[in-house]
Amino acid sequence: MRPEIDVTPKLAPPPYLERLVARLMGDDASTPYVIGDLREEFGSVRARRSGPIAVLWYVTQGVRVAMRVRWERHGRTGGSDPARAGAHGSHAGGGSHSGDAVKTDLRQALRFLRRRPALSGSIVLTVALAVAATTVAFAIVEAVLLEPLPYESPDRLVAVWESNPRGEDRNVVSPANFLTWRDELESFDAVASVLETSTTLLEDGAPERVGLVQASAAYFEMVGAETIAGRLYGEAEDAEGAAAVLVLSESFWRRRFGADPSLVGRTVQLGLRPGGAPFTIVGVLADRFDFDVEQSFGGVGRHDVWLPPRFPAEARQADGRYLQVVARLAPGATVEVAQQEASALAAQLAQIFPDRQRGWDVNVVPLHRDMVGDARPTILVVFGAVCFVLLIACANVANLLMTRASERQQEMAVRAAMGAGRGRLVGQLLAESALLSVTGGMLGALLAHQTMTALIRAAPDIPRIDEMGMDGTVLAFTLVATAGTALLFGLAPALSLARPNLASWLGARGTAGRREGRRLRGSLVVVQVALSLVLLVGAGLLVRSLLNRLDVGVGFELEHLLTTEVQLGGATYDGERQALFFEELVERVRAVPGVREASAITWPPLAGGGSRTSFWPLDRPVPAPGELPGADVRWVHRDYHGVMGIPLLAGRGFDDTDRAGAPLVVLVNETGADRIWPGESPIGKRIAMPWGDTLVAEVVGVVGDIRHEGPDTDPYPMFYWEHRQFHAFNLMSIVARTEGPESAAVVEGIRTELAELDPGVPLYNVHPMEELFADAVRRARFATMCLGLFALLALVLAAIGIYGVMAHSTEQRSQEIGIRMALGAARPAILGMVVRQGMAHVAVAIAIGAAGALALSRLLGSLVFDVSTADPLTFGAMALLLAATGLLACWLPARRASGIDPVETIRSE
Amino acid sequence: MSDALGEFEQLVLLAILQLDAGAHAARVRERIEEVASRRVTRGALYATLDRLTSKGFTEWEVEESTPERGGIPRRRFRVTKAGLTALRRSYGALRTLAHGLEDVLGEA
Repeated sequence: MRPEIDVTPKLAPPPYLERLVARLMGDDASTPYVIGDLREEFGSVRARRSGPIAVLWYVTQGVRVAMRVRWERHGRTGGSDPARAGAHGSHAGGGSHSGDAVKTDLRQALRFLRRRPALSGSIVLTVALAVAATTVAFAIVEAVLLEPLPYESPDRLVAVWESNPRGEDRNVVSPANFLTWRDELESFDAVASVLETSTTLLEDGAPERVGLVQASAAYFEMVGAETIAGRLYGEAEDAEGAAAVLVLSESFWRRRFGADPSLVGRTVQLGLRPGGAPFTIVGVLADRFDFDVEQSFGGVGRHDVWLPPRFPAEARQADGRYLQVVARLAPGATVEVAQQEASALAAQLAQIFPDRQRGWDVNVVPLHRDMVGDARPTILVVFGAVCFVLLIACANVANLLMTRASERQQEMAVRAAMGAGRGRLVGQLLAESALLSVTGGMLGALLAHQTMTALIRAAPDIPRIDEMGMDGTVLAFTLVATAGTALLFGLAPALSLARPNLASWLGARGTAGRREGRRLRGSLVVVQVALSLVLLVGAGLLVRSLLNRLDVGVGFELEHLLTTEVQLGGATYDGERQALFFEELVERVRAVPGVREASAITWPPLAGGGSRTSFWPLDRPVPAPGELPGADVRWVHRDYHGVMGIPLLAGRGFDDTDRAGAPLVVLVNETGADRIWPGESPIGKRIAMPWGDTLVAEVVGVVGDIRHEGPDTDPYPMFYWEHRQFHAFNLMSIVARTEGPESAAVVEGIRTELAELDPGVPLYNVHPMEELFADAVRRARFATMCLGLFALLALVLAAIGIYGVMAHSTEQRSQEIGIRMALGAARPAILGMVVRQGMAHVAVAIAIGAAGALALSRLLGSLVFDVSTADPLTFGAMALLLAATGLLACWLPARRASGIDPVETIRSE
Repeated sequence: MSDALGEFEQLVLLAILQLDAGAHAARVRERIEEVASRRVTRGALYATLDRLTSKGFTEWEVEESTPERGGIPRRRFRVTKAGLTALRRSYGALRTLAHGLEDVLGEA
């Protein structure tokens, strides 16, 4: 009977390790029971010791048991018992490579490696580190770039964007265009719109700001969404006039309602229509069908509630753009076909609606690429760097093995003389490297597993990275990497050593073979150092980019600055009362203990939201519709720029006279002033901006630029309006400059003031600006950290490589050096000779490495910031660093060589 | 069955007999470690159990799983008639050879 493994107990070893041990043990009736015994024992080990220790225990025990049992079975089925085979001791003989010979090779290898624990240990550790790093990097590549999206027919899903006249090809979509695409385009058999925003849940107790997604029913159908309870809303419920229904997300259902199954069918009140009909909860959506929404319009970073979008009839005429669109290709259609059809439609629309469609096109992107596109270069660069580290590690290990191999020439020669063929000798040496790399590989797999867990926790802002894990594909990669490592570092020394040059080896100390070995080792060092330089240059460029990012800043002072959003319920506040509410709130927040200054803005920097629209300067000819320039627009409380520390560069800022009824005024940022009125003063100029009605305002001041989405983004023209002159916003963010670090007490103070003004309005998205800034540079920081770490590892490995080769070569040349000294060479001359020799390798390597770095650093393109990928400073500094390291690594053995006592050395020969 | 039993094989068979209904692999290992005060590697034990079973000296039956094993049943070992015969022979030979050596061997 072969029992099925069904339930996994809490304290079980990782399943992939169990599979590994089971596989090693082979297909036998007793295998599952032994796995069961080991699992039980693992449980008791795990209860006493930490996770990693227990896993280590499992690996060593599991592999030992498997090997022993395997041998035993092999003996029964015809092979000889290892213990007995050992007693015969006929190792060197026999050219054939039977299973027996493999076993003998392995056992002998094990014996040899045990005798040299320091050497074996350092090799195993090097392999483990390199394999772990490559495995983790591959797991990221797999999870993010290779693994298809977890939806139904993921390769047929596409993201559909508009591309705007300014050439940005991922512009959000207007409801009018979405509806037209849905009705007209035949390349798609389903088209869905998604909008991320937020609303207030007016259920019992404190009002809560919840994340809201307005998604077409078609979205659920497209991804094959499933519910935990109840049902999803359908196509019919998308229509206006249908009953108000909503779907909760699984996590919100658990968090807010304690996973109460009776919730389906109940009603809740949302701030969307205060006092209006409540919404009926029809189901709970499983979390894995959540959608990664890129552009948020007042969202809270979570998706708690899903609603059908409900476009009113007039939506077909409106020109606001805010939707994200996903579509499924019809059978037979391709991305190219869909793109052509959509572009043709866009051209038609531009003729019919020139004022809002001219210059606009459609951009169809496969959904997977759309989701991970940004992260792709980061991931590939990290993966490439890791592969370099693996190569360097291999070169290092090969060097170590060759150094040792040269000590074993006599042993090999004796064996060859006794009749062992070349294949046999190579076999034995390969067995040694296989043993080393398998041990290292297993340790590496373990290390990789731990690293992944830690990495997912660190969440480096890479989409889908949480899907990474030690699955079959990754494990297979680890095996291939390990096997490749063994071959790479094992074959060269094995071949060079096993060349049957009997005469020279037996003749005590030949020189021909030695010289050849030295040359090979020298070239390995050159390869290593060259690869290291490539990594160092890459890391250097990224470090400079990160410093540049931090240095360029965002245009305002981040320190002790708190931002939080406040949204008023629609019906309770009309235009003027909204403005008054925010005026009053800012006054109250100023009085909160710990707050120095406060103000308000729609869409603060770094928080994700924003608004951009077209305008034209009145002192220029009016451009054709569709060719209007664009600018960001914000509505602010008059003290905003002062509180943020954004400098006033010309003219005046807002003051108390800029209120409703007074002439409309705007502030423009520096980039806007330079682009719109190059060489002129913008003060006194007037602009027109279509926002509902066409607004005409006079520019009264110029303020400094900010980088709205983080230091990576270039400043864009921006106009600031005074919010009281244009009270159409029920959503503003309060910014508060605090006395000290942003404390919970300050937040509580603000919350209390808000509750006193209106207990039905929640405070949400509370963030210190420094936290938002850290998020904005997180990916850059991640790439820099990875590459920096790998480069450091490479530098250390290269230094060890240089040192090893130089130390060994001076040792072998001690006789020659002794004679030189006896003939009168001074110590400094010897020192110089050895160092010169080593540095010759380093110099060649730096030249090769620099050329390689120049070719490869271009791949960093999108990751570097404000620095050329051929930056001479970085290249120079890194070459210097490498040269200095090389010098140190040469100098140590050189000093020892110059300390040789000539008499002693010559006598010993 | 001409195969003579090795020392470790004898220990394993004796431990199984001692443990009777509790003769699971892990218990057998613990018992030998306890009584013979020597380290027994898991690999050696499983290999020996496999060997004894293939020689027909032991057999095993499947028992219900426990929660710690997550659904995997376990094996309870038993000494077969042939196993018992072989053990008797080995033990008999040992006893015969030890006869008269009580002074040397202590109170055996």
